[in-house]
Amino acid sequence: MTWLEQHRLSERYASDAEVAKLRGEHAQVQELYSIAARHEESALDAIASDKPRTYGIIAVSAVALYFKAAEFAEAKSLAYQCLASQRLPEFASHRLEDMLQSIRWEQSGVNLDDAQMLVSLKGGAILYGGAPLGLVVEKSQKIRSLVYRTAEYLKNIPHRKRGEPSKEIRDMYRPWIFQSEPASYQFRVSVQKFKQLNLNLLDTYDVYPERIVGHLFKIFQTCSESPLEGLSKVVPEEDYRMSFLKLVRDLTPTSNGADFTRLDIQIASAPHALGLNINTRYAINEAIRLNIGLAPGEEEGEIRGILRALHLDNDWIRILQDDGQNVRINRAGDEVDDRIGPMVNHRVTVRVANAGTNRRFLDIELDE
Amino acid sequence: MQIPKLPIDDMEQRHKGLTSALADALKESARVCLDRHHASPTSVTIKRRSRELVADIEWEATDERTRGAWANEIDTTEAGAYACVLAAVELFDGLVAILRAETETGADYYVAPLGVGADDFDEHIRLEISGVDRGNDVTVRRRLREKVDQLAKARDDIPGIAGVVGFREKLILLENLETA
Repeated sequence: MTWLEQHRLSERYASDAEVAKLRGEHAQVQELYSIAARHEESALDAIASDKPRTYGIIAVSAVALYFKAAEFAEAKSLAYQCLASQRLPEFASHRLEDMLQSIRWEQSGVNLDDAQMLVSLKGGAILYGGAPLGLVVEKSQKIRSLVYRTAEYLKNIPHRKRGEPSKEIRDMYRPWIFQSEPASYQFRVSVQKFKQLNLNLLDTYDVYPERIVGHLFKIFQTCSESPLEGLSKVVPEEDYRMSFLKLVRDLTPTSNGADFTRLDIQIASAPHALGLNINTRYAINEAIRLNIGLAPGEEEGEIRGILRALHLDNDWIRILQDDGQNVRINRAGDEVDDRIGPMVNHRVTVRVANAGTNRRFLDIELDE
Repeated sequence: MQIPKLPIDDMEQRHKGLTSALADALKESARVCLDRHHASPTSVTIKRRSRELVADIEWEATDERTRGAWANEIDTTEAGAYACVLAAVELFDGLVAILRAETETGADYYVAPLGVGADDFDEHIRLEISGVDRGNDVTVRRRLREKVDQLAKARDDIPGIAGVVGFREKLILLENLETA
C-alpha cells in the first residue's frame, strides 16, 4: 500500500473516533484512534525521503493518534524515533516536543486526594518542569481567588467586590501549593482544613474542602462546555457567575499562545483531566459580552495600554496608551478587585462603551 | 442573477479529506448552531477583504434529541464552523479538503483546488477554522485576526487560510496567509 492509502485508512478510523467523541459515545473512541494510529505509522514508513513536509505532518499525526488512543509508550517511542530521524522540518519537531510533554504528564500517574487539584500548564514557553515565574504566580493567584470565591458561594455569603475574603474564610479554607511530579509544568493545589478551629467556627464548618474542590471543578467543566446556559444553572446568581466567568477566563491562554497553550485541571473524582484552551476563552468572552450589553446610543470600543491607576470606590481606572495618552474610563466599580488588582502596571485590553466623550467600562483582560 | 447555495450537503463527495460519517456529523452540528438563531432557509455573507458573496443556506431543523446529543456547546460551535467554512472556501475559492492530519487537540485540514492530487502536502493550503456563536461582527473580525496570527506563528511554512463563521451574524470571514 502507498502512504496515501494507509493515510486514508487512518483518516477513516480517526474520523469515526471523532464522530463518536462529539456524540458523547466514548466506549469505542480509544480503540478507533488506536487502529488509526497504526495505519498512520505505516503511512509514515512509506513516505519518500524527498518529502520532508509530508513526513513532518504525518509524523505529528501518528504520534497524536497514539496519544489520543492513550497508548503513551507507543506515542513516546515513535516521537523519539522521528526526532532522531533528522527528516523532520522545524515546525514538526516543535510539535513533537510539545506532545512529549503532554505524554509525560499523562504517564506521571499522580495520586490526588479529594481536596486536591492538579494544575498543569502546557505548550508555548512551558518546559519540562519549568515555566515563567510571573505566569505561575499569576495562575496560582487566580486559583486561590477561585477557591475562596467557591467557598464563599457555597456558604451563601454575599458576593464580595472589594478586599480579601474574611479572616474566617481564610482560616477555614487555606489553599496550599505543592510541588508535583515534573511533566510540562504542574503543581498541586490543596484546600486544607484549618486544624485548630475555635468553637464558633466549628459551628459553621458545613462546607468541607472536598466539596469546594468538587464544585470548583464543576464550574471549570461548565465554563469549558456551556459558559452561558450551563453556568446559569450551576451558578444562578449573576454577580457570582460573572466573577467565576472572568476568573476562569484569566486561567485560559490568550490567542498568541506565547506563554502557554493549555491549562489542564485534574481532581481525584473525575475520570479525565479537563483542558482549558483558546476555544474556552472565546466562548467565555462571548458569554461575558452577552451579560454586559450596550445602552442605546453607545458604541463598543477597545483601549489597549498599561493599567496605570485605579480607584474602584470612585468608579474609575486609568490606562496609559502606547501613544502616551492617559485615558480615564468610568463606571469600573463593578469589577472585583482580586481580578483587577494584579493587572496594575501590566498591558491590558479594556472594552468600553463610547457615547460622545463618555467612556463606560465594560470588561478588562490582560493583553500579554 | 441566481444566488448560490452554501454547499454543506454531501460534502464527502467533493472533500476527500472528509469521510461520510464525519461530513454528516459536521453538518448536523452546523444545523444545531444555525437553529440556535435562525430558521431555514436564510442567507449568509462570505467576505474576504473587499470581495463579498451572499449565499443561501438551507438545513433541516434539528429535534430535541439531536440537540441533546450535542451538549458541549463549544465543541458543537467548532464542529459547525468546520462544515460552514469548508463549504465557504469551496464556494468562494473552489478549494476542497484534501487531507486531514491529527494534532494533539484536534485535526488540521489541508485544502486544494478540486482535482488536485492528494499525495503531496507541498501543494496544499492549511485551513484554520473557528466559530462564533452569538458574537457580533466585531467579535467575528477579532477572531479572524487571532486566527491569522495563529497561522503566522505556526512556523510550518505552509500557505494558510483562516476562516471564521459567526452563526448569529450569518457571516463567514476568510483571510489568506501567504508564506515568504
